[in-house]
Amino acid sequence: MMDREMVLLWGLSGDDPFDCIAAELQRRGARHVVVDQRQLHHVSIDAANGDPGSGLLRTPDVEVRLESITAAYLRVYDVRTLLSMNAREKGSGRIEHALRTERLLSSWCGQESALVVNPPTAMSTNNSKPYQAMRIREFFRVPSTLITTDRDAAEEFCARFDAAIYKSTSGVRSIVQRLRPEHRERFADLRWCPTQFQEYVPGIDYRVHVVGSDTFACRIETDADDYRYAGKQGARRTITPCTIPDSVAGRAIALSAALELHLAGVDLRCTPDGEWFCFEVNPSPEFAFYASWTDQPIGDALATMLLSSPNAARELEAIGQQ
Amino acid sequence: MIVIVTEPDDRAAMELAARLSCDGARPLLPRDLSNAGWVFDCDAPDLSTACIGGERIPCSAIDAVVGRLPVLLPQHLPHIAAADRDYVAQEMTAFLLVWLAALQCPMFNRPTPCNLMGPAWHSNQWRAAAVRAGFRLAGPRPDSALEGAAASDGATVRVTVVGNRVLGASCVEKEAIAGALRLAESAGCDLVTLLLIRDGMSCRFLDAYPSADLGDETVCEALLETITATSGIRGTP
Repeated sequence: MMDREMVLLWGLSGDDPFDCIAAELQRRGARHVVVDQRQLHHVSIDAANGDPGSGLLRTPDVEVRLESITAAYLRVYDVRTLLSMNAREKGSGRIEHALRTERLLSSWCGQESALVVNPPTAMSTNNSKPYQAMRIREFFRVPSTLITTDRDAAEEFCARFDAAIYKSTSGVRSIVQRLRPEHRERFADLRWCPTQFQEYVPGIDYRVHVVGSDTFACRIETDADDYRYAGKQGARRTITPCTIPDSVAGRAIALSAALELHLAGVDLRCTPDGEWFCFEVNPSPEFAFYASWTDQPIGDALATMLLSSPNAARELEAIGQQ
Repeated sequence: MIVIVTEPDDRAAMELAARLSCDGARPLLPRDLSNAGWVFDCDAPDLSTACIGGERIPCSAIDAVVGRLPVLLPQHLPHIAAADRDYVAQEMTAFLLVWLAALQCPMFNRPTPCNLMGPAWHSNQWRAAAVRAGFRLAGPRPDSALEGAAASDGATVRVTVVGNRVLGASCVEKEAIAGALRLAESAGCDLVTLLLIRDGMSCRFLDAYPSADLGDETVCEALLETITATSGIRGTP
């Protein structure tokens, strides 16, 4: 099968956002090719010499010229972990083949002829939360943050605030926890690894999904320190669609554009004084979860963007230049 | 002080650090990140302190950084409990990224989110950039180059860009020298090695990586001279 305009979906079938976009493209009759990470051993790329934009992508179902792909949606997991879970894959060469295919796909994503949501290089700012925060602070206030291996420095920092939290520095998902007295007993262990502390910012959480120049905001009310884990912690959580001030929405759009993200989940908190903090920008948001609460047409907006890729790419560039 | 971010098995980097120790050069090893004394306040990164070789050092005292580790790996951390190594390696990498990015001194090279020592480009991204810099490409397919296959035809020429100098360039044409500088600039690298294949009177581009052979005396001298010129510190090569 050959075609001139094709959307690439690279991720994991069964993952809600991935399935949401696939279903939306299917519903519209849009041509798309699915590269399922669990099937990567059946996928190959015959790359053209020296041109990462050219070559032939083969999946069990189709053959697609890479240059015919006009847009791509990525929601990629660690394929080594995925395939290692299956004992049959070990030593079969399949993991090596999958890694090589992913390297070539990543390389294809680095060229500029297609709209990639989101480019791996752009997503990687999330590998270090404080690094990403250096960019965020151009647009939003961020909580005071200390990263240290030093017990005294941690004590001194935490004493400056009514409350403090700690969380991972890297992109590894961690449960944000408010610092309690029993945690301080473990401060001697800080020396083993730099640990991130932040001032606790009181207020209401907002998740703003940015799709190009569109925003979908929702308000999250919870008793948990980290609303993502409210269910597991037996805490209350409600997520409702809402409107946010235009200036806040505008900053969220500009921040996403500055990070070269076409799709982003911007985590905000509005304090009782009306000040907006930003904690993090998720470059591969689980938008389907929020849409299940709010009925917001995030997947629809994303599919529209993927199918109007040249315009969307120019739009992001224009926002970034403003 | 020149900080060389490396690991104990990187012999060339360790030797360079030892050789420059009278100029205050220090290797920053993964083990150093498990010492009390690291303090990085995101609101005041200039006031941060590092802990290298057991000594607390104000970051303002660091004149230059040479990066040798693209990422910290679990195997760099034998002093960490095995079950925690993978997580700790990711946390340390994330910390080093923001710490290095906040330093204002010359850096070879500035970190990017996927590579603490420069751009994390795939072989064919380098090749695409090389074409834009004016190179013609050598024959091997990019996926073969990715797998580390050697060039099969012609003589391989290794050219190193250090700052605005191009080393190993005596046997390449002027266009290739200019192309090497353009490629380094487009990659945001002050230290990059290009692999070229001689093809008659000219050279074709094969691959590149954002590092250099520190075992090469001329590279080390050029690096120290560039550091001295850009940071203003005294150097004794």
